[in-house]
Amino acid sequence: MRRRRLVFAAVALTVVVALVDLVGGPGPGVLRSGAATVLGPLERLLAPGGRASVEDLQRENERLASELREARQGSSDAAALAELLASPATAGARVVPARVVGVGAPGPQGIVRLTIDVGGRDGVSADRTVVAAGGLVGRVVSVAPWTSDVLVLGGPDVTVGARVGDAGALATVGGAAAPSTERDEGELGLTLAQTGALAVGDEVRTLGSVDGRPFVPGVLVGTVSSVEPQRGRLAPSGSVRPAVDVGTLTVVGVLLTEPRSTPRPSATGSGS
Amino acid sequence: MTPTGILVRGLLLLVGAVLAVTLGARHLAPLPDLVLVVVASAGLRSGWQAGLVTGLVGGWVLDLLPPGSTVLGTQALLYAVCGLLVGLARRPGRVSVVWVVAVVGAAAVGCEVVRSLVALASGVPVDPWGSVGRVVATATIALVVVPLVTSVERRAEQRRFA
Repeated sequence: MRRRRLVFAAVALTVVVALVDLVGGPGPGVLRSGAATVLGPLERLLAPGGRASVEDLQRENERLASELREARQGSSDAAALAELLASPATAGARVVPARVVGVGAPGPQGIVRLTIDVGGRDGVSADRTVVAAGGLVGRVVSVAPWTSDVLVLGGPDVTVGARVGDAGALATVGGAAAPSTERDEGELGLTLAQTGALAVGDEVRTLGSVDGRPFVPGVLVGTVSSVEPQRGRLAPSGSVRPAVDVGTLTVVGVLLTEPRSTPRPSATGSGS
Repeated sequence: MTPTGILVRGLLLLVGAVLAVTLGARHLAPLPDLVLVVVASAGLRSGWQAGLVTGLVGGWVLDLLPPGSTVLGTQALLYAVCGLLVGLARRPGRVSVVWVVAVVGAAAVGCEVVRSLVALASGVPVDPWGSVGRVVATATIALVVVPLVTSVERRAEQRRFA
């Protein structure tokens, strides 16, 4: 009887924790980071390949010359990192290269959360932009000493302010921006902020946030894949095919942007 | 249940959860739900109360293992209900493999349906064929893993530390 009471107490405690987390209370964050501190290194140990730091890759390249078999593995890592550092998504930014070491419990909604093998000790903090060679992946949501968790674009908790097409129409991408029944799995909903032109093939880029957190401006999110008939809605909406396929992601980069510290000088218009 | 049995069951849950997360990072699909298989084998062997506790613990491991779940405790409650229902489907004596596979398959279907409904309610499109693949993979792996887990747990309980 006492044991049964204990079980019901545990279930009740779980319900309380879930409710506190749902309303954004402080306790679950501590639990999460504590668990990540303990279990994160275990996941790093079991990660595919190894650590994607520049030194490691240089060592890989040295071995490339001598050992052909290891060179095959090393060159694919080096190629992925070189592609990331050469892509427009990371141009001019300080990048911490990272490897995807864990993917959240797979569900029908696809990949919503990732774990990467860099953390607080690598200079990563919450609300940083995570990119891959193709474009935007998501944002860092919690940080442990050795690992960080990333909320992936397309999940229910990631909504990005964006600019669409050459005209740069303001739009909202992801989250509950559009009903999920009207688009395919893996596509993102897009709603323009007000009336404007929306065409299939338009590029969607991030609008950017203050100090580049959580999103730096100008990173490719995807391209418009379909435009829905307006049917009495105020603003046009459509679907976006993401630039990055999260299902094949291995190497990503966390962008470290410095907050602005000096006042911006004013300028005089020439008027001609 | 002896302390050794509890320890072995906890280790099996941790191994199942870590495998699920790290194999997911290698982008293998469809991945079987190994935690559910361990929870189901506990429920089928020891009844609804053990199923509920094992489900609660297994779900908490999935909730806390990075990257974890969006809302802490949701996986724990889902797996606890699964363990409870599987435990209620326990039959005394030797059971056929068909019954084990059917029960684990039904539990996997239940999990997928609940997750689909939550995803649709929060505006995320779902992939029904991926769900079917996961259910088939989970039921298939249960064919091998449930007898294995049962025999490992039985052996662990019979052995006594000197």
